Amino acid sequence: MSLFKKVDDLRSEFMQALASNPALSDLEQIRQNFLGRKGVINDLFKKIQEIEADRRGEFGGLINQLKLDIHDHIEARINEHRGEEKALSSVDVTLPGIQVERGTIHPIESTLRDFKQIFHRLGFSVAEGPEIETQWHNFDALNFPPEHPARDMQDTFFLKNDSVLRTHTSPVQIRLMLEEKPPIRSIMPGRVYRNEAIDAGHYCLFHQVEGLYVDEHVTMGELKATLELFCREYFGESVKLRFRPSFFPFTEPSSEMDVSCFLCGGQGCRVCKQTGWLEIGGCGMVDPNVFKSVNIDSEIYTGYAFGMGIERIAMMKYGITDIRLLFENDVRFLKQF
Amino acid sequence: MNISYNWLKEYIDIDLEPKVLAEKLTDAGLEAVIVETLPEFFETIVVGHVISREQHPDADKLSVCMIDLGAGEAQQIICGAPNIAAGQNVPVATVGTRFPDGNAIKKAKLRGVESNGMVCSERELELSQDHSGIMVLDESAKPGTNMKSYLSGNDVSIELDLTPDRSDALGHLGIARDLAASLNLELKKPVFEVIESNTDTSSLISVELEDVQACPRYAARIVRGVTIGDSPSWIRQRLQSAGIRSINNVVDAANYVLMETGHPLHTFDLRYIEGEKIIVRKARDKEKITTLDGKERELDDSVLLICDGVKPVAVAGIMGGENSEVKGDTTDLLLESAYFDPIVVRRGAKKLQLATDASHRFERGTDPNGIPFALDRLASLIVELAGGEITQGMVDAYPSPIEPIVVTMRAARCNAILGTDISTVTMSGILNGLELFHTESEGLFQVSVPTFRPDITREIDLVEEIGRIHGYNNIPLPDHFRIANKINKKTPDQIREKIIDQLAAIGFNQIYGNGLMAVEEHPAVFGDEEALVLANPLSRDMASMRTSLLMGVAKVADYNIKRRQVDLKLFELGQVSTVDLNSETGARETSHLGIFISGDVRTKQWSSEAEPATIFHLKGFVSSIFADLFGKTINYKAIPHDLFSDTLEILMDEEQVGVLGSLKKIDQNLKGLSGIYTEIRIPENLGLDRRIHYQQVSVFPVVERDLSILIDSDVSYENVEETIRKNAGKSLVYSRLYDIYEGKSIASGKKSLTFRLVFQNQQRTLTEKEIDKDFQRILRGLEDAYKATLREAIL
Repeated sequence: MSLFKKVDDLRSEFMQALASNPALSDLEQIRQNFLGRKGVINDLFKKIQEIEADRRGEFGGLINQLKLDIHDHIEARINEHRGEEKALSSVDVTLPGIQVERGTIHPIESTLRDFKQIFHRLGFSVAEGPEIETQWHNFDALNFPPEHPARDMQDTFFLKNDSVLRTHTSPVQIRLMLEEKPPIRSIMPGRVYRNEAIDAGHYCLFHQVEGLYVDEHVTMGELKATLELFCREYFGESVKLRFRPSFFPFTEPSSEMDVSCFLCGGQGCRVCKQTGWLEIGGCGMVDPNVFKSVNIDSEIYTGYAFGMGIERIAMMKYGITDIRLLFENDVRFLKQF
Repeated sequence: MNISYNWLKEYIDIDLEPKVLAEKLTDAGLEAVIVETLPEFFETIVVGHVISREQHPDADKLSVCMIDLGAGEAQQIICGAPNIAAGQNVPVATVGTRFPDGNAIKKAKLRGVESNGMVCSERELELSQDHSGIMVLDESAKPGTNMKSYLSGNDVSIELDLTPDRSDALGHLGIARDLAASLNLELKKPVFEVIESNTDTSSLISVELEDVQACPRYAARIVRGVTIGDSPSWIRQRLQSAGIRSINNVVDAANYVLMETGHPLHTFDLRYIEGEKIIVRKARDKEKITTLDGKERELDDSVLLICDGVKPVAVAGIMGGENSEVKGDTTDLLLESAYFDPIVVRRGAKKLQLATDASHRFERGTDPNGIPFALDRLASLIVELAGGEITQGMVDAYPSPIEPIVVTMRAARCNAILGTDISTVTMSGILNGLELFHTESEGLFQVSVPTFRPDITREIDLVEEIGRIHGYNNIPLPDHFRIANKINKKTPDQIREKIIDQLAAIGFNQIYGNGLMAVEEHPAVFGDEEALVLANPLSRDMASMRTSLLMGVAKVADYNIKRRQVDLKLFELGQVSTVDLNSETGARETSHLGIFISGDVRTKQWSSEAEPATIFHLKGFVSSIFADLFGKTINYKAIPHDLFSDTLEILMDEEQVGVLGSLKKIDQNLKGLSGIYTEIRIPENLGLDRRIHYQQVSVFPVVERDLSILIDSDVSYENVEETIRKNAGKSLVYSRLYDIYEGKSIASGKKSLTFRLVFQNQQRTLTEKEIDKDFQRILRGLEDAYKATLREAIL
């Protein structure tokens, strides 16, 4: 019986030897140990005489099976090793990956998207309007008197038919308020035009995002809170916001908004002209005259409006010092975004 | 506008650093920054006292001076000016000074004698054109004092960027009033005396207003026997801080009162005023006047004139005439203080293309009731500076006085708009500080608005005053937002974003172009464009609105290719506009997508060859955008086109939405540009009606067969594909062309097309027999229609 057991023991012994994941040379050694002329299998085979005659066939079969299994296992392992060697030698895996071409979204577009995303979260929908506007929508309805110096502030392109290239996206507010009853809570992104000479800081067109909220009991405090939340989302938690009284025909009270300079943290540097602040836009409470021109009762409803220049903020954010780069579209510039 | 820190302190007791003061002004709505009015090189220029002057041993024109510079030993400095003398105080550029022209002051030897600096003339300090000799300073100046502090009297200049509504803040007094209200301090108005002679002013001059609307008030005074000369340094220093050049004591006095009260004043030399009267009237057509700047100006009736009995002597509210200018020998003065209609001055200034300190203020609205104060102040100051006597009384033409208006404000409304809880007592304090005197009862304010605040006419204007002085930054933030339970009208901007994302994902760079272009540059992409032309363009190449994106995109492509960026994938998605007489603006605006490719769409890599851009790449991109993003089928039709070769018209729902082709020459300036371009009008609600319904995925196997046919070369792919589709039966999922071959081993005039046909059934496994049947039907169809023959079938 012990010889039969010996066969089983040899099998476990072999499996154990394989389990240690032997190298190619070790495998050869294992083969010699088990299957070689002086190997343990041969030794065992020689002891077949010690088995009772009627069980010798059975014993021989078992040994042959073990021999075959060992052979197969070793061959398989050797093949595995050879396979690995082959792979390593035939492909230069240090070759560069196949290049994937990435496109880019223009920085004006991506800045606008960031804005939209934040304002969406604050419950604003997006409304747009035409770039070519009537003077009524662009000026009169927004409380610009015909001869007011404020019309100087926006030097306007006129078409031959007396329409204007809108100087701000505020006429979209007018269109929205004419079409809908309050509450209205929308942002209005779009392209606007100013008749000013082109230089590093100015372009004859740029993009704005305006916002409008008209409802009962809208306050200036809420306006400030909305813009502050926006700025903290966009510029980072630590940003500080400052409101400065200002003047726009379509809001009263009116304010400019500044954020603490993110380059110097408010200490004063070249970018913020030593003030520690960067102007990002204007805002205020919708002027009752504007409500009047769109037939909204300003005794019932109040509202706030704000506007920011996208290029200006994109330039601040990406450190672009010349606005013309945004419209030149050099692909070496575009591919950085 | 620049103001002086020291000057401001005259009217209000403040102990704030200039920087803090500027912040306070900014918080009240008067945006303020501290500025340098003198150039940087002044840092190293100091007051020097000339201890001794001796002749240079080797040069006739040079003097050797010992100059006390305040600190350390006196320095030896060589000077070439004729007027230098011992005992003078002079400006000295010390060693290390670098002048703007690059000239630097170093220790040097002049004809063998050492010199440690340079004594400067006014021209060298850029203070005037005077280079006749060195500048001589006040005797009281202390050696070593920096010239900046000497010139400004240790003052600081503050630049204000005022909004156009705040005409009341165009003088130091008005600014001090805001500060007094913000800081709860008292405003100290200037105190002065007007001592008059016995001569009655009205016996010397009379005033006639021909146009009371344009000039509601004109007041005049006469000062006789003045001596024109330099102003004392305190006036010069303040004007210097305010950015105004000192001229002489009379002109400086007028400028001083202007900068104090914000009210423009004018001084005439009385000897040139003829007819003992002033007439205010509109100019006649083509009437001429030579203004103080020496320019002759032709006028029309948009301009208001100040005339004497004979001729015009000034353009009202804008600039005086040369003919009545105060000169060095002037002794008798006519002083003018008037109120002109802002619109009239604005039109006049526009007509003359002339903006002055006076017109700037009149356009924004001055105080008609502040006229006597400003006039008296000027008369008194002139006497103080230039001597002379003021005649008795002022001639004041003011036929219909402008009264202060009364505006009511509800305290509760004010708090409701601001989101504050300001008490009526605090509100009352703020209003008083601003001289908005009022009564209040149960939260209702009745405010008498003085005429120096023409910007306040309504309750909301008073609310702004309360908010502004209370401080916007002190308005508390609510903890919560309210969001209305309502969906507002919105723009389908997701269409645009999807297209942009898709193109960016497959390697395209988005561009943003200028929407303005030259009138003659519009390429006829669709053929029906009529451009909107600007009435007041910036330049000829930006004189109209783009009707298509092509020119802008092509210019960007050209720009990049010229900079060796030749493998381009560009796109722009933007508005274009054309004339539309039916629209209220006269314009129709559409959203266009322009896509440009050039060079290789895939560059050569170690693993694959380069793939040059073709119209088929663009076709693929376009189809994928419309089919994959919006579920729209696009069809193409070959058309001839002036701008493109190999042109296709793009059709959606049978309508032309775009064109696609290889660029031919589109413009003289873009001769060398080649590339593939497509421009598509994006339908307004593209794909918004698309509903995606899930289709069950068939569990039965797919069978693929390749079909290779020989067919006449001129049969188009489109026709072959259609024939396959028509004859295929229900089981054909799709066919894909994967090989085209013409040439050797194929009869001339023939081509070989190889398709992969993919069959599958939703309900069962297809049998070989069924597929054979479909395959044969397709083949027969092609044989019948185009005499195609089977080349090889791989089963």
